[in-house]
Amino acid sequence: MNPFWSMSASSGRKVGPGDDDGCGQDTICIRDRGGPVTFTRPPSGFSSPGFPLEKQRSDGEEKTATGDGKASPPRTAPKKQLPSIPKNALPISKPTSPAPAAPPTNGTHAAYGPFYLEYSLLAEFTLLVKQKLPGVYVQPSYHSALVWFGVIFIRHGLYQDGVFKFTVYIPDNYPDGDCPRLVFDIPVFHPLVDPSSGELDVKRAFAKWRRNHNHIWQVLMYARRVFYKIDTASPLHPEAAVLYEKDVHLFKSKVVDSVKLCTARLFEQPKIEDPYAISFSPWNPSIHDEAREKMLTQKKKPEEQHNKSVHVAGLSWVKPGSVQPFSKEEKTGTT
Amino acid sequence: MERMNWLSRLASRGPGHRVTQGASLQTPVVADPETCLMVFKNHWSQVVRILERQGPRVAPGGADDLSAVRNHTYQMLTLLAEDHAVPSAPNAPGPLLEFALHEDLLSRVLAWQLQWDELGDGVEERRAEQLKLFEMLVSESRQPLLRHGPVREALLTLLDACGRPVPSSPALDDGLVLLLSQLCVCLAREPSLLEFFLQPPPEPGAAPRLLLFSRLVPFVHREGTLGQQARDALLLLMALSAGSPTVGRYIADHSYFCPVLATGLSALYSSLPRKIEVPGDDWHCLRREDWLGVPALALFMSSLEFCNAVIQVAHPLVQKQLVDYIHNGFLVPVMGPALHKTSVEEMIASTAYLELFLRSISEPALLRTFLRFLLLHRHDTHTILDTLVARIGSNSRLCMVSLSLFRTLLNLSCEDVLLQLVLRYLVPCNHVMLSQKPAVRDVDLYGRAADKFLSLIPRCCRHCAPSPPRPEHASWARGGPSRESGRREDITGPGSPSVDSSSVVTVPRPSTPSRLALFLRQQSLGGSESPAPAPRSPGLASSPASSPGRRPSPAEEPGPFMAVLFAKLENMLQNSVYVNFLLTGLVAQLACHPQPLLRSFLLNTNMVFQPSVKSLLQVLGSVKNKIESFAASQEDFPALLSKAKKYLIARGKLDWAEGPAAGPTPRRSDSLVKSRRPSLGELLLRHAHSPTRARQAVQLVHQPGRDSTGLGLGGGSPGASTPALPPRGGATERPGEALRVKNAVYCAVIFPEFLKELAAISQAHAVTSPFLLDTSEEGNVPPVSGFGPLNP
Repeated sequence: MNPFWSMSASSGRKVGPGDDDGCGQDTICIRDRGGPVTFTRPPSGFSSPGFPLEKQRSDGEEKTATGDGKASPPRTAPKKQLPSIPKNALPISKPTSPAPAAPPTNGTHAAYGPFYLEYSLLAEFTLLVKQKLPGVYVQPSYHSALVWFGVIFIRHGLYQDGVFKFTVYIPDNYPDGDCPRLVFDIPVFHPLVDPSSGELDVKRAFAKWRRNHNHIWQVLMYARRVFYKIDTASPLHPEAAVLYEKDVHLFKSKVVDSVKLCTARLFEQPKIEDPYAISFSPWNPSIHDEAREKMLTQKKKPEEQHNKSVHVAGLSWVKPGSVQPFSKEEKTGTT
Repeated sequence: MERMNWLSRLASRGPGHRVTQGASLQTPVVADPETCLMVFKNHWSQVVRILERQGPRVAPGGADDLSAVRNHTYQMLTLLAEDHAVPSAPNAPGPLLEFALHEDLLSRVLAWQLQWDELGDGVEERRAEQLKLFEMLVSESRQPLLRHGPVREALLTLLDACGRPVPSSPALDDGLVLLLSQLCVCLAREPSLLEFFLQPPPEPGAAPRLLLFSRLVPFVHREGTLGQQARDALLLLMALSAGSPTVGRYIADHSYFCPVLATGLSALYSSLPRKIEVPGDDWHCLRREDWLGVPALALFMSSLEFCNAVIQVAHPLVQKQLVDYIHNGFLVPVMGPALHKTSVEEMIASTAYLELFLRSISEPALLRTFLRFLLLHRHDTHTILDTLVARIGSNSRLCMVSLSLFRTLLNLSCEDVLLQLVLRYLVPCNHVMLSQKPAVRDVDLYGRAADKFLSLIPRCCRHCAPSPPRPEHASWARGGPSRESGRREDITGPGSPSVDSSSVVTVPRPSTPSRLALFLRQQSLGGSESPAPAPRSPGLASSPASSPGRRPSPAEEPGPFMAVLFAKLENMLQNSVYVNFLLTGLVAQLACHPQPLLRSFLLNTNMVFQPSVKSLLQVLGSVKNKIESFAASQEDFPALLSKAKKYLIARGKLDWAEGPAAGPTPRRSDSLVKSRRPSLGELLLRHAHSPTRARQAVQLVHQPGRDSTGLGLGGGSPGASTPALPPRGGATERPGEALRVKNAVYCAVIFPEFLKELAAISQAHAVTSPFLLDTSEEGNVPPVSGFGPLNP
């Protein structure tokens, strides 16, 4: 069993209870070399294992990154080639913003450029995990830190029941380059999704990628939001935009078709061959029941682990609010 | 930790296996119960005949009576030990026991025998015999004897008699302690019986008695197996007392147990060597193998461990009392003055002892007392801590043991320690410019700090590295390391920063997964080890002396501890290689703390400090310059550097070959610190005290070249572990000059590694801190929140 998944299973995160309305039981099967491991998204109210990057967010909070989308010409060129893998040539990270005392990037330490990039992505990924975006699951590629696989579950609204797989491509000069790209495996019928390449128009939300201000989790949050709040301005898919404006009924039925199509093709092999690519398989009790059981019982664990880790954390006799050592009353040993 | 095993081992020992042993011996003699009872009664009737005569005073025939009773008693008790309940009434006493209880046999025999004591002859011998007989009975009996009042009465009579002035003898002591420990083992199985052994005060106002306990106390500091046995038994009693308020109160109020233990520590401490014979010039702390060979120290350590164990299991009243006595009876009057002796040798010894003690104790209550003493107790006018901090600035050996002490202190992961050493100076934020305060929380996501640190690697240290086999990077590049390695080697020298292979070692790699994937897998392997959100305990968030208006005074220092570490660091070129190992290790240890204030102070290279405050970056910059100008002045610098590297690498290999078992291990796991690969310093100092190791390493280096000229010369003391470097141009140098060169060259090896370590740590922070700081990024959160227990 891929330990990666056992990890994610043990770090159960909350599924927003309200988010589950009207969705059936999603079964995800992640295939690894060692054999498939499954997780199930349980009915509402359970902690969701797997790699749930979920967080309950009110729609109001989601407004943050919208609005500044500039009109970008619809792109039609297919963008299906593999992501550009970072060349061994050292990606020199030149700060674009005038940074005080920017270090010279030549010499020995420039050789460490790839490390900086990789650690930046690690940090971005941990930030993403922290966000717990509802219905969004992401896993980085086995081969490249610059490619992340994901799947998004839409739980209500026009796209309800949609299960859309996607891939995030991060530029190799991150964070100083363009914004990451997000490409759906199957082009979803949506004004902002290129009908031939499946690429989502991310640029409109991140006209200029600003290090320290923009983070990859924002891209994913944006990707989730476009399905709940339809924006038709300067679309990548003009037909969809027009339909939405002029004939919502037809638009809806097209969306339903698109959702059905995606669901029908759910069990297909992942588009990119990668041990960590996300793949689905039909429910198989001999494999999935056990995994499901395990996930459901893991719910209580985090608290125990929490307590345990708190116990080993260290010693403190400082009274909260004080900066005096031993200000806490008498022996309450560990914190 | 160990103590609990100790306890359970004890409890499982005893009658259990003694019975089987006894049974196997006795099987041949097993007769039917009725015959046994008949024989038993027969012995008893003969004894009764003697007992009923008028006392032992009659001289003629007296001795014969005594020996007859002795023989009969022996026979009876042997039979009694074999007695067991009849199957029809499994809970009732067996037939022999029932008869003995009815006749009050044990007490009557004992009382008669004790009368002879007044005559003065053979008391000691008789007492030893009685103890042995009763011990046999208690340990081999097949039924719960102690449930019966008459048996307890007899035992108490015997224990009482053991307090009368009889010349103490080893045999008597052995017998007494053995009997007592057998009784304790029995009680551990039936704790409720303990209170029956507590005798009410003989008269109003007097103290109650618990002979079981008070007879053991005098043996608590004994050496050897006797002492160990007594301590084991006492520990069992302590554990039992935890569940019995009466007994707990008795021990605290009516026994001298706690003062005896604490003053015992003082007495034992005073017999410790005042001076430690130092095994090598890299020696800086007492390892187990060091102190096991010093009987006085071994004895002290077993007493200290005993105190620790007692505190772990005893009743809270006892725990509190013992802790107080240790503070007032040992630490303040003995340890305090010892640390302030005027001779350097004695300072070194007492510091090393203190470090050993701190490393050995584990109970929070005991640690608290030690730390309280260190942090708050004032000897003369200074706190102990101040004195110890100042000693970091002293010369070689004292500096090293002091650094080692602080390493141990920091390993405790104690908020109070860190607060007192560093944080209280940082909390007001007077060290940063006003406008910079919000930046204290900033996390360096893109490796800017790492880049800055790495840029400080002196140019002269970059080339000609006989680099260790480069750990194959887990590269995200498809082509794997093969493509890059060729071209990067020449620029980089020794490859990757110190930390990256740590993420690789534990995980078998099928091909070349991205390090991100590796990291995640490792997280998952670690399971619960993923840093838990640190609860922010002290509500510093709200408290920091919000001093936006206050003007910082001109000489605002980040505290004496930081000041002395920085001063020492600035002096790196002159420090011995071992001082530098410890020193850089300590700074790295501090930098690992996921505490925003500390992290920003040490690692945020963009931070603008008040002009009076020196930053780590400035200090490192000045070292860089010194190394560069030294290298420029030393024509054969590259050769010397390469030689020093070879030596250290060879030595490191030896250490790794022996496995990472040795060395003081931190008690508590600290996932960040733990996940960090040991610093080069730790790596090289492992086992470093062994001179053979140093010699081996030297040979390893010199074998190919055979250039023995390099060995003898230089500033190292004989048997020193760093080889002297070859003289310049064959000319003989003044020893002082050779030492200066040697230290500087080794410094030039360590310094880049230290920078890599700092770079790696700052990157690790970027990855882990989102988990630690459960804060929203928006808003004007005061900079110090998230100040929880300092470790994840």
